[in-house]
Amino acid sequence: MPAAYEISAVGLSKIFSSNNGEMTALANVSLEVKQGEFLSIIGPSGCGKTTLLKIMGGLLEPTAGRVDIGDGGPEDAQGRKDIGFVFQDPAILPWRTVLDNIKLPLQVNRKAGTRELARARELVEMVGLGDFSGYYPHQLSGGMKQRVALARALVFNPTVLLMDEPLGSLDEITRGQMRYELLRLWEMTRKTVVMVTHSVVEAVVVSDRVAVMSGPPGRISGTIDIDLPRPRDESVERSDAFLDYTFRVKGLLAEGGVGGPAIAGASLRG
Amino acid sequence: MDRQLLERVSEVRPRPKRSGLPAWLHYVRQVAPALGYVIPPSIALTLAAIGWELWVRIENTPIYLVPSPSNVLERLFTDLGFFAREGAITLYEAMAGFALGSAIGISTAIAMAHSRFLERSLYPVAILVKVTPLVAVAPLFVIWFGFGPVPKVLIAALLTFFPVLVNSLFGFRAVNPGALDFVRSLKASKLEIFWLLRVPSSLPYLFAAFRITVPLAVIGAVVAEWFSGDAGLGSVIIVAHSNLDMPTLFAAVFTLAFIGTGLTILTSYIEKRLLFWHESTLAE
Repeated sequence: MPAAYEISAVGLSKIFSSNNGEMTALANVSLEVKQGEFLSIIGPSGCGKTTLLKIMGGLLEPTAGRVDIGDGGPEDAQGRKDIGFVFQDPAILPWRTVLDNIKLPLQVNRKAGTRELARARELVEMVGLGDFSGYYPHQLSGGMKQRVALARALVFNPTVLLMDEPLGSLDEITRGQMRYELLRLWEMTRKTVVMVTHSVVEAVVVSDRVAVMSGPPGRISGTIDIDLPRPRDESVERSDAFLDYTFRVKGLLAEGGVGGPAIAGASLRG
Repeated sequence: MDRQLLERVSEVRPRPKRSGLPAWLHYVRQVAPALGYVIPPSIALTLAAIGWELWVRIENTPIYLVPSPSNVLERLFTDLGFFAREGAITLYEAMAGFALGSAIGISTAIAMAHSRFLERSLYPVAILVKVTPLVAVAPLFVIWFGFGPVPKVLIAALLTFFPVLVNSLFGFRAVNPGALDFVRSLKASKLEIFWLLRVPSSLPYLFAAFRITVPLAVIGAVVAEWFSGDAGLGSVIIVAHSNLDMPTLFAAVFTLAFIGTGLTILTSYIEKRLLFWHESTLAE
């Protein structure tokens, strides 16, 4: 396979069976992500964005099609610790301190060496929680919890970062700030990122490319290259080019329609 | 932004001020909140005892029907060693049964959590154990296992078993789905998922069960002692009952109440220490 693509998904379909019948979440979706690229997937609720992300990360098996991450499937990438996941719910462990939460991945498969432990400490600083490493999650704000989740995903230095609405649970003000925090972090690490989002502004601000989805059944309506200069800061939101991109994304979203009614009980969040 | 957050978070934990207070006053300050939990119920208990005492004296109730609190306390304190010894036996049986029942309950839950087949086959049996009235099997256990501590421990274990099984089964499954997905994306083994996520997640549920089963285990031990009256507060009660020795019977009940209170306080102390992070503790 061409080395230029870090992630390649070809002809992915996913059918969920439930008591209410079958539900096609994804219909023949193909997507390629270049090494070091920041790709956002945007689309209405229930269009299969999260399903697509989970298949890429090897958390779900596709009904048809295949995914490659680097030189192998998602399973191999999991084994190499090449996948870092961030979810909308930070899902950090309430009984562990900030630092111990970030070290959690190091306890899986007992791979932790002094280098990894040093990296965990480094990451606490990197996400701006240096003074809080001994705090417990219930003592943190929503934004800080999400920073912990980000640091936790990065502790093995994975090649791929998969994020499912990472800023979706934050209030508007925090979200606006975290957007640029995320961008700063990505510019420091240059991971290959796939981020699912509901926010057009967020998608345009952070991404190299935006994939617009519609559904169900989930399809990719089109992708738009975001050719805004980097590094980007808040001022980017005032530029004409930025406005132009947001309208193009909104246009593609409108074309795709809001999708049919989702079947109750099918797990198609996002 | 970081500065704002820093300020917001440092509000959460104000550092205790080390002012120039004398050491004993500092200590009083720390203990004072706890007294708020001790003093009001003590007043209520004292008032109830006074009311009881007055009623017995005014009505002149015969001592073989209802003894006065002073009679009971006199009986208790003149023979404190006896009640302590018998109480220790009951306590030992109850705790051994509690430990055994919890161990079996938790192990069964682990097996069920990992296998639907085991869950389907064992769960009905567990329910059968639960719905069978314990008093019905207590005499049987005495016949089977003799007059030693064994039947008491087994009855206490039987009573502990079901709530612990149900709650730990529920607890093992009450893992945050995001956290589960996260460790799965690292190819975590079932054993790692169990220790890193399932065990800590189940603790709040487990302690909810313990709050019920610790007193239940004491009940189980006492009921079993009724049927094989060789030792323990249950047999003291049965013997006193047949002699119409109400002060002794009440003194035994008081001792049981004391044991129950102590165990409950101990349970909630351990729970608060272990579950400092859980909503139930944080809400207080």
